Amino acid sequence: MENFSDWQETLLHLPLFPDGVVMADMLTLPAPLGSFLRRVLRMRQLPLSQLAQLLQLSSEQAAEIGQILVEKGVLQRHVTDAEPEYKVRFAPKSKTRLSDQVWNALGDL
Amino acid sequence: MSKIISIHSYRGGTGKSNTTANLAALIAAQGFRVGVVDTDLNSPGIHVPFGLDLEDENVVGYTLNDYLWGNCEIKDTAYEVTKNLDTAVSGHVFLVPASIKAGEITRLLKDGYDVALLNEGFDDLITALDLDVLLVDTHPGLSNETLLSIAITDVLIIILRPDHQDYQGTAVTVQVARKLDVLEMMLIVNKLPTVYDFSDVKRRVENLYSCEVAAMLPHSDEMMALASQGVFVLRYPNHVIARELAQLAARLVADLGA
Repeated sequence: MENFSDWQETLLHLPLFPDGVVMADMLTLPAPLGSFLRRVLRMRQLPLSQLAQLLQLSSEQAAEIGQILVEKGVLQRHVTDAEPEYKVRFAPKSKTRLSDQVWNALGDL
Repeated sequence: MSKIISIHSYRGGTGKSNTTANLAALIAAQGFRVGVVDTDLNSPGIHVPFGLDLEDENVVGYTLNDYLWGNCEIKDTAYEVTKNLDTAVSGHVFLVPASIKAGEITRLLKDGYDVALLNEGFDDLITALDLDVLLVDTHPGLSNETLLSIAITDVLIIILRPDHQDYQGTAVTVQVARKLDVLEMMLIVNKLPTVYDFSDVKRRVENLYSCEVAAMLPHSDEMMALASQGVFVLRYPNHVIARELAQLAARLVADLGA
């Protein structure tokens, strides 16, 4: 997966993650994307130049792929004085789905 | 250079927190600055062997829960517990405890928290406390939070007992960790009945998971009697458990320099 059009094709079929991703997504996303996100996660936050290195694309192409991933909800972009930086966009932890009755009973704790 | 080491088990009761506390003390004894984060937010406990009284509000203010709710920075939740250790060590141990207040645990279950904060918090803690090693005591089993700890760790230590439920669960954990591209993974077999042939068990476990067993720890009456009221390896430095863990601790920091 070193080709710009291959990345575009992969991301075309990527569903939207309106709330961000959860770790389980990293296990189930298509192999090149899952692997890419795990590397971004390990690097915490990376500038566009490093994103380009990781994707093995030019800066312009990486910026385009980065933009798609931001729009899909899996990456966050931070604009800095130098170059934009990217990191994984996590969904907040899901709330436990217990009834209000249960929580009310626990309310005095 | 610093290193994040996560200590995990598929099931509870494997001795994860005690092993984490022992490794922290042994690494600090080599002069390193060690942080320990209790991410077992549902059932925290590692503050006990470190002698940190979470109910004493004069000692403990913020906990990890407060950081995750945005009430403070993560460095505000760290407490130096070096002086609580039985034996003086040349390094330092800092503990980030999780709340043991029932209301705060249920609030966490009810409202959740921002997982990304946990990820960022580890790095901030390393920087703020100038840590050489950060040990993450995880919640047993597999959850999104646990997977995050596994994914960002430099070394993953999985603890299991010689029990078939543990064997099955560990297989799942190893499989998931590999899928998450964990850089280095090792196993600790804990609470081994002393009647077992340790080298045979080690060989079988390594073959089963294609993963190195870094320590074989026998069941110990002394450990049971200590009942988490202290750090075992400092109380019993000549015990076989202390020797096994000392070897592992030395190995974990071998690339960090003294």
